[in-house]
Amino acid sequence: MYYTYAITGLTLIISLIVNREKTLKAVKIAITKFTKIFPAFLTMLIFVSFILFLFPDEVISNYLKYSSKSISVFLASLFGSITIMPGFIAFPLSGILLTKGVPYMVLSAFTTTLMMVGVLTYPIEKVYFGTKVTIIRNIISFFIALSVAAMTGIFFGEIF
Amino acid sequence: MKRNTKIKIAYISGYALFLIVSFIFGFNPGKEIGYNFISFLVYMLKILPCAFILIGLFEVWVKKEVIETFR
Repeated sequence: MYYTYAITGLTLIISLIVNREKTLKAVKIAITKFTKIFPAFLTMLIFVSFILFLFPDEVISNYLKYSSKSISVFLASLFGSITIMPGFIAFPLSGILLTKGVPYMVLSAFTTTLMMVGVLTYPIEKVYFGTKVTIIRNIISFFIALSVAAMTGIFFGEIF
Repeated sequence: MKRNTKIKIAYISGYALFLIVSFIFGFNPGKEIGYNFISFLVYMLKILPCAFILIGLFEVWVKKEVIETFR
């Protein structure tokens, strides 16, 4: 956490020394981007605060403890496939779930599908990519997400 | 887009109202949801400004053409 602050501060200071105008422009870009994404962000937090109230930590961790990991990964990838969300929403959401004891493998499947696979976003994607590419891209992405989850499981020692 | 913004404002303010009312009347589930929300919000607000400043700096210093050559 402190490293992030240190790195950001350092780069900001270096940038300020090198070019004041560009740095101010960068800060402006940062602020506009932040205000643009903030409503989506609040929406996510509102949903999460409700859902985690309905399913408290004990329920989530108990469920994940006693059910098989492959089923959890599969369910997580299905949930993630519903729609596409940007990394800015996906990662903080996973961070919250991680503190609730959800395994890395399941989070990996969830975030990867969340960012790569979207069923609800199919109509929009079709306009730009065409039907065939969209379907193939989504199917391949889904399997990539599953293999990424499997790799995460292996590297974090969660399977075997 | 404008209609979307209206809907967003409506449910966010609805949610805020729900939390305020729960805190005033001591409605426990509402209070718990509020605490959840605030703790997540604080946690995010600690990280996000850094991330966005880094993105801004990246956009200013790295030219679009550089990214486009790697597409």
